[in-house]
Parts: sequence; C-alpha cells; structure tokens
Amino acid sequence: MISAKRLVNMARKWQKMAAGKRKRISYKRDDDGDKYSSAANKGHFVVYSMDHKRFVVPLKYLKSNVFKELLKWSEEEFGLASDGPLVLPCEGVVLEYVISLVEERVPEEVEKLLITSMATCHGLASSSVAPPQGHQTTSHNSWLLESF
Amino acid sequence: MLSQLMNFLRTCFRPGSDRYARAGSDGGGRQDGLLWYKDSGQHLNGEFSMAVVQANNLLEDQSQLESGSLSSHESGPYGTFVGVYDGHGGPETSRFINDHLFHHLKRFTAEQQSMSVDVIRKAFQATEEGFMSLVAKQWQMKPQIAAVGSCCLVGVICNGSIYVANLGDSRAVLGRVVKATGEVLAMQLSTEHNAALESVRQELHSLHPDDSKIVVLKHNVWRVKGLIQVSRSIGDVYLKKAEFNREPLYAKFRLREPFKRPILSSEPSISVYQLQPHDQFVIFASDGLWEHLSNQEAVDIVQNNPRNASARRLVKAALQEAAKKREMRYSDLKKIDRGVRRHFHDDITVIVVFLDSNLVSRASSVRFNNISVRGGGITLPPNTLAPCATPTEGMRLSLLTL
Repeated sequence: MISAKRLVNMARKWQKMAAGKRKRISYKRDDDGDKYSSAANKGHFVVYSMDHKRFVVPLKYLKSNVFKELLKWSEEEFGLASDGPLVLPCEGVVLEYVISLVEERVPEEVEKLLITSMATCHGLASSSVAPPQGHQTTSHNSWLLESF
Repeated sequence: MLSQLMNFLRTCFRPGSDRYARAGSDGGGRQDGLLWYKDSGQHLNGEFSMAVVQANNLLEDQSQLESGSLSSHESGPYGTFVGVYDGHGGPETSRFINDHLFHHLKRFTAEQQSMSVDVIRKAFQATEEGFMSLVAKQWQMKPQIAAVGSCCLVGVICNGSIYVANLGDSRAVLGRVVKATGEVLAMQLSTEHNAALESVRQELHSLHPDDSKIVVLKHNVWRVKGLIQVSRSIGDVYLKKAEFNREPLYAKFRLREPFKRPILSSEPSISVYQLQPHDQFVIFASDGLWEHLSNQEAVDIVQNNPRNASARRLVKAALQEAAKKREMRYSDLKKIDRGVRRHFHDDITVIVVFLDSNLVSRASSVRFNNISVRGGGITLPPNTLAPCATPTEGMRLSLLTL
C-alpha cells in the first residue's frame, strides 16, 4: 500500500508542475467579464466558478472522476438549473488548479486525494462556513495540501 | 448472443393476430445515440410524430400513444390516447404509469360505456393507489422507492373532443390556425403544478395555512418543502403519507415535523375542449422541452415545416437552445454521455398529434386497428404486454444502450 507521505510528495510534484503550466494553458480563465460571450471552440464546454470566472474546458474532461464529482456537487448546491451556464461550487483559483491536474492526467491516487480535499472544501461551502475570502484566494495551494 | 436476444424480442413482439398487423408495421422507432424517434405514424384522427432524448443515466421520461379502442370492450368508444410521464428520483414511477394507466382507463371506459372526465380521474386515482401499494410492498427492501415520483400528462381525443389531464409540469399546447391571417396561435390546454407559478404557491399556502415554509426559494428555484418543484404527482409517497417519511429513507428526504395532511396532491387538473376545424395539432411534451422553447416558438416550428419528423425537429430546437445557454456547440452537446448529459439538459419527450378535421369529426364507433407506441424504443400490441412484461423491462434498457 502506498504511504501517506508518498502521496503528499506526489501531490506536491503535480502541483508544482501545474503551477508552472498555469501561465501558458489555453483554457485559462476568461476575465473579460463578458459572461455570455459566444460559444466555446469546437470540442469544448464552458463552466463558471463561484466568483464568476469563465473556463473553456475540453469536452473529454467530462469523463474524469474529478469533473463528475464537481458536477454532482453543483447539482447538490444549486439544483439542475437550465437557464444559464454551468456553475461549479468552487472558487476560480481552485477550479484552475483542478483543471490543470486533469490536464496532466494525474495518477488515480492523486485524483482520489484531490476529490477528498475538494470534498472538504465543498463541505465547508455547503455549511456556509467558508474560510475568509482573502485566505482562500491567496493561499489555496497550501490550504489544499494541508487537508491531505 | 445478440441474435438470440433479437429472436427472443421478435417472439415477444410478434403481433398476436391480424388485428395487430398494423401495429407491427407501424411500430419501431429509430435510435440515434441518446435520441429515439418515430418521425411519422397514423392514429385514428390523423398523423403523429414522436421523439425522446435521454439525458439521465436511466431514462426517467416515459411516454405512449395508443389509438383504437379506448375501452377494454370491442365496442369502443374509439379514439387516441397520449401519455407523457416525466419521472423524478428514478424511472420506477413513470414506468409504472406507462404500464398501468391506460389499462385502468380502458377498464373504467368499459364500465361507464363512454369517455368522460370521471373515467380519466378514476384511472389516475387507480394508478396512484397501485403505485402506493407497490411502495408499501417494497418499502422494507428498497425504501428509496418512496422518494420516486412522476408528472403525468394525458390527452384523450374522442368524439370530436380532447380531454387533457395533468399532474406536474409537462404541457399540452394546441396549434390553432387564424383564418384571416393564416398564422397559427398557441393555446395551452394543460394546467401546470410547478411552484414557480404564483398561483401554485398560493394554493399550497391556502392548503397548509399553519406551515409558513411549505414552499421555499433556494438558488432562485421555488420548491415544496425545499425538496420538489411540482406540487402534484403520482408517487412521491414520502410527501403524501407520514409513515413513509422516516428511517430508513435518506435523511435529506425526511421532514423534521411529522405531517397530518398529504403535502403533495395526486388530483389531476382535467379540461375538455371541443375540437374546431382549424385546430391543426397538439404538442405534448415534458418540461425538458418547455424550459427551452415557448409555446408559440414550438407551435411555429411545427406549422412552418413538413409534418414528418415534427417531434424530432422540436427536440433539436430545444437542444440547440440548451447548447446556446451553456455557451457550447450543439454538435458537442450531442457527444456528452447520458448521466453527465443531465447537467446540460433534461430528458425530453415530444409527441405531436396532428388533427385531420375529417377524421376527428367521424363517429367514435368507427373501428380502427389498435396501435400502441412507446417512446424510447418499444412498440408492441397491448395483448402481448402481460406475458412479456417482466423480461421486456430489462430488454428496454439494453436496447437503449446498444
């Protein structure tokens, strides 16, 4: 069985790579503020974070467990709304990180850890005891690791 | 393996006698990914067109069109029956309605020797009672069945009239041509029971004056007890009988306070309209369609295009609108698997029934070869339903995923 320490190390490694990648990823959030801009490129779909950041994501990411979990939480949080874009129940910084991990096709163990750590975040959000805004946006990476 | 399955199905569905020959040739829709459609068929009073697109992991929408005798006696009356059943929490209730409601209706028609509002009301009631006994039977083994329910929309065309009965938020819309201009006007025939409507919330408050939280707004959606958008349904027994609102039902469905009166009703709203020569067609559809198309938009699409494939055209228009709202391409939306697809749109069922005024006005005693079409892929003569009922349940699913 894989040790917790090794998992944390793996997660750190992936996180580092993702952080490096973030500067040049094509699905980078769209801060134009044009919420209802034209349709995504071919083979992509669009999601918004709680803080109204727009992400254009490859369609195949919908097959990942992480996205399936996020969609499930979105349904629990907001119901299945039909009259607007998809909103996922997490902050833009977290979603950006999650997407970068899916892009890197992280090992299954890390994916599971990610889901567990997101569940903590989701639990906080749904019980309305979200951490202070500033804390979450400035140090989300370390916060994500702390929960490992 | 597959050929064995097909042989088995053929044995099951082979018409029992010449009387059903038409059902055999008229049957069978086509499956294209998650879309099922039957572009054209003939009912007693004209043509029809059906289409269903699946979004849920298990299709929760069920539907049927039955034309011919509306009574279990051969003497009629004859006419056309349309049912759209939009399930929630699972497919069990909508499937149950699909398997029982029409049979109850035929039984009561035979008893009363005519079609009437009373016959339809009794058929709804018998179906609700039947499902309640099923829940009581399964409660110990499968308590979550208490939290499964379904909307129920029924249209009966008989003797130059159309009866429309409804529970929930599916909708029947008539397309009527305005002679002077040649335009077609949308007339909604069904009454809806969704808490989004002010009148429905008022009704809930007046029925439950001691409960200020009978209807709650959360994330911009009104829900009865914060749980469900519709105020009337078949099933949802956990909100009708307190004995099914306790453990081992999931905590999220359990109410804090025990209730004495049923919270949801199963009393359908029923109306009758005399059909006019300029009444062209009726669109029956689950709310999956109406959340993307207005009544008038839907009616215009049917009127301004060939009759063939009308239902499929409406489904496509709704999916295009859903894709637009999700800021993505229609061609990409269609690639999303069932289950995940539910986050992009709902199950959608559409049945367009065209009214040929010559055929509508003819006597209801005119004999017609019975036809029976089920949305989602199975057509079978009613008399083969019983012996095949159990095996086809599983087959229907496997056919959908082939």
